[in-house]
Order: sequence, then structure tokens, then C-alpha cells
Amino acid sequence: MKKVVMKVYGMTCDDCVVTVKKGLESVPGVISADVSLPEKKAEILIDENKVSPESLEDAQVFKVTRYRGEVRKVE
Amino acid sequence: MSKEYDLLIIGYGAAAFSAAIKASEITSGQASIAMVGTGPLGGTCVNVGCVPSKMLISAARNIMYMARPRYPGIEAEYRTDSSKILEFIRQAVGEERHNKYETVVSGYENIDLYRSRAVFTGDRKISIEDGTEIFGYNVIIGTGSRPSIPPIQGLKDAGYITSNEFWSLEKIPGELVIIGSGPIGSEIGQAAARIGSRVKIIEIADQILPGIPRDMAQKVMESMVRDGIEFHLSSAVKSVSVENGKKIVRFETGGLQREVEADEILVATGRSPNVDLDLEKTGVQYDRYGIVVDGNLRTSNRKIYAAGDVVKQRFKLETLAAKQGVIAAENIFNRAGIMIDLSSFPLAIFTDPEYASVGYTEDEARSAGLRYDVRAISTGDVAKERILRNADGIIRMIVEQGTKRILGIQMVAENAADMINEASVIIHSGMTVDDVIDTPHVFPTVNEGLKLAAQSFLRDISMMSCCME
Ligand SMILES: Cc1cc2nc3c(=O)[nH]c(=O)nc-3n(C[C@H](O)[C@H](O)[C@H](O)COP(=O)(O)OP(=O)(O)OC[C@H]3O[C@@H](n4cnc5c(N)ncnc54)[C@H](O)[C@@H]3O)c2cc1C
Repeated sequence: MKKVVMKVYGMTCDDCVVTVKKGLESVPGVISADVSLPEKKAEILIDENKVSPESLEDAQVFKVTRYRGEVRKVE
Repeated sequence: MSKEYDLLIIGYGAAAFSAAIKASEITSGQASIAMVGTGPLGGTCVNVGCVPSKMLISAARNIMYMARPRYPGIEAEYRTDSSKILEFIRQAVGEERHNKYETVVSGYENIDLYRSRAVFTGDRKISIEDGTEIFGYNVIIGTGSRPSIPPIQGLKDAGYITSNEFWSLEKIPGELVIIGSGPIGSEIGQAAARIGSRVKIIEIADQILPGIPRDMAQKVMESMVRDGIEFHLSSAVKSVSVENGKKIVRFETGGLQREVEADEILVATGRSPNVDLDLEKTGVQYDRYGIVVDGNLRTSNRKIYAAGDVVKQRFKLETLAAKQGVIAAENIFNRAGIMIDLSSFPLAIFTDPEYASVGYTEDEARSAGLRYDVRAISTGDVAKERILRNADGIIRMIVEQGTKRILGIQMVAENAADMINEASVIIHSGMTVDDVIDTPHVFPTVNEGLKLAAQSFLRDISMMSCCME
């Protein structure tokens, strides 16, 4: 299991947080996602055998909405 | 002090601005951006490049219409004052910079501007003159290029100007020697000649505008000779000195030593990328031709992109710099994977007549081993050009054999730079000769020349009536 910290651009309200959280949690291999509006950040727990940290940037939620995600740290 | 940004852009010219704006749009203004640059905001194009040079050319064209009216029954008396022209250009450049750069950047709260030279001190980390260190999670290098100065004996001591200093002159020198007949030397040289300067151009190659088709360069040169320019082709400048207040430029042509006299020397021998950034410290590969990038504009450091004149590539153009800035931002923040196709990028040289090209030239098609057909028409075949009394140009089209897909278009014509935009659409959309013929064009317009060039693949255009479809 790994923790990935992502910068998230484009969130302005609580609904945005919900959309990003749901979007990330729907990616196979993502165990949970904690999204913060004030910090414009997401902390995601992943099973690294199923999903790579990098590929989270290509998650559907960052493609079809105005939100964009960028991996900043992998622990 | 040290700071962190989502995007660090080095430079604040065309590439940098378009990257910053695109990155802001993609991230809904939430990417924090640092733009670090030196000199006046906006970089080369607005301050010392496209904008002032095209204004000077426009002023010179006004003079040409008065000096050589194209219809009988017109005579004009005129005087020129180059100091007033230059003063006006400086003012207009100031306005352009204010409206299009200073005001624009101040409207973006997420962009911080730093006016300083930058050098890398580590991975994605730069230091600026006041000691501040700036780190960018993502970096775009858009540091542009500068005039390259050949090592000519005595040149430095005698003094010279480049296209950077030309615009600050009090007046255009009475006698101007230009070293180099590339786009910059030829454009400024012709305009200066029309405004009243005695211009001599020394060129090491055996044609002007080296790299463009020879017959087209010849047409441009003939026009420049009519403007009073003296050319010395196949000539290598050896030394420069000052005698009795005049600059003496000595050069060698076919083994003969010769010299010309000048009030000022304009060095226009090409441009070198601004790569003196300690790029080694951040793992970015480069050489003296520029920063090495992949098709996505990514450098050898995967979090650093480069855009514009600083990139190792064959063109140095404003439109290309701006486009690459946008692509770099898209590839970083949208992970768009956009590739840029230079083979179909249009370019223009704003001499009179202008030269413009998109896609393959005949030489390039031949070297690439393509099976092609080629036709050239004279602008004298185009009704509007005859009306404008502007018959002395060429339009050439290169077409793939079999498919009749148009591979390349070159032209030398008074409005070639405007016409090439249609040619660019033709090449980009993969149109065939028949597609162009089927596209209605307004009569009479210079762009009908493109349609006529396409028709020349099907029939002898001298046997066509004026506006036959
Ligand atoms: C006389 C002339 C006429 C031209 N005419 C045309 C034309 O008609 N059409 C056309 O398409 N193109 C034309 N060009 C080319 C065009 O101007 C350039 O291609 C374009 O401006 C390049 O933009 P850029 O953003 O790459 O670089 P630039 O606009 O040069 O910007 C680079 C920026 O980086 C800064 N910089 C450099 N080094 C550092 C450093 N170490 N630290 C911090 N900042 C740094 C510079 O100060 C500058 O602000 C012309 C050029 C010239 C010189």
C-alpha cells in the first residue's frame, strides 16, 4: 500500500471535493481518497500492484471535468 | 528567501506568456505561476522583433508607392524624416507592450513576475539576482535567442548594432552596411533603403535569403536592387576598422579583397539560443543550437519543458513560440501528449515582394525521395495581381503523384505572407488539387493565385479565360 499526495486544481466548492473524491475512489486500485478544498490537495491510498501513482493523473475525473491532478509525493 | 510555484516559467516573451495564460485557463487560475525574465516585458517580438520591423516595413511601403506609383498620371513629392518614423515606432511599441503584456499580466492574480536573470542551482530550482531561490514543480524554459556575433577582426572596437539596437537609433544611418542577408538583414535593409539610406549587404552565400528557393530569392533581390541596395554575394567579411569617422568593412569575394564604407554596421548573421542558464544543474540537455526536446517539447528532465526560440529546431518564429508555449502548458497540466508538426508550419519573410512557404519545397521533396509533380505560375497570371500592377512573382505548388495531395506551397508575391494562411489550411487539412479548384474564391483577389496554381496541374492556364472555374 502507498500514500500518494496530489495537488488538485480547479476545485471551488464542497461539491467539487465530492466529485474529485468519488472520481478518485472509482479508479481500480484506489483504496481511499481524502480531498481538501482549502489545501487543494488529495491524499490517496493505493494498492500499488493495481495502480501506479502516475496514472492517477490520467483518472477520468481529471479528464472530463475542469479539475486537474498532479502527483506531488509518494510515500 | 525561497519560494515554490506550481509552474516556473523562465523568460517573459511570446512562448512564456502563452504558456502562462494557457496554464491559468486549464487550472481555473489555481496554478501558482512565476515568470522570470530580463529586459522589457514581452521579449523579442513586441520590443525589438516582429512589431517594430513590420512597422518600419509598412512605413517604407508607403514611401515606395509614392516613389514609384504604379499607374500613369500620378506623381508625388515627398520627404522622409527617419527620426520621426523611429520615434513613432518606439511609441507604438510602448503602447503594444502596455496593452498586450503589462496590462494582461496584471490581470492574472496567480502570476508573479520577477524581473531578473535566472540561473539553475539544482533540480527545477533557480536563483535570481537578489538571491531568492525559486522552485517550480513544473518548469517551462522560454528564454528565446539573441543575435549571434561572428568573430570578425576589429568589429567590436569599431562598434556595430544588431536588430536589438536598431530601434533605439536617433535616425537611420545615411550609409548602412549589413552583414548577412537573412530575413532580418533583408527586411530591415530594404526598408532602410526605401526610407533613404544607402544600403550595402554583404552575404557569404551565393544567394540572398539562404535556404529559400533560388529563383524566388532572385526575384526578391531584383526588387531590392531596384530600391538601390548594393549586394556583395559569396563574400566573407574579414575585418572592420574606423577611418576618418567612417567604418570600413573589408571583405573577400572570389579571392579579391574589397571594402565598403559605412556610418553604421548592422550585424544580422543569425541568432543563438539563450542557453546560458547552468542547465547542467537541472539535467537539461542542450547544445549551441538550443535545448533538446522530444515531440511533446519535454526536455531530458521530465518535469521541464522548453518552448520558442530556445528550442533546438529549424524555425525561430513568433507564432511557433506562442504555439509551443500553449502546447507545453497543455502537455503539463492536461497531460495532452500534443505533438507539434514543424513540417507544415508556415513561415514568411516580409521583404517586398514577400516570400512565404508551407510544407515541402521542391528541394526537400526531392531529398525526401517523394514522388511529386510541381507547377509554378507567375503572379502575372492572376487578375488581381495585374490590377495591382504587381506581376513579378511566383507561386509554386508541389503535389504528390497519384493522390494529387498538396505537399508544399511557396510563393514570392507582394502579399505572400497573407496568402500563405490559406496555403497553410490547404496543407493542414490534406487538400488535393481538386479540393482547391472546387473551393470558390472571390474574384478578383490575390488568393486566386493558389487556385490558379492548382488548375495549372490540369490544364494550360494561358488558355483559360479570366476567371474560369
Ligand atoms: C528583427 C526581428 C524580426 C522578426 N520578425 C518576425 C516576424 O515577422 N514573424 C515571426 O513570426 N517572427 C519574427 N521574429 C522572430 C520572433 O521575434 C521570435 O521567434 C519570438 O519573439 C521568440 O519568442 P520567445 O518567447 O521564444 O523568446 P523571446 O521573445 O526572445 O523571449 C525570451 C525572454 O527570455 C528572457 N531571458 C533570456 N535569458 C534569460 C535568463 N537567463 N533569465 C531570465 N530571463 C531570460 C529574455 O529577456 C526574454 O524576455 C523576428 C525576430 C527579429 C529579431
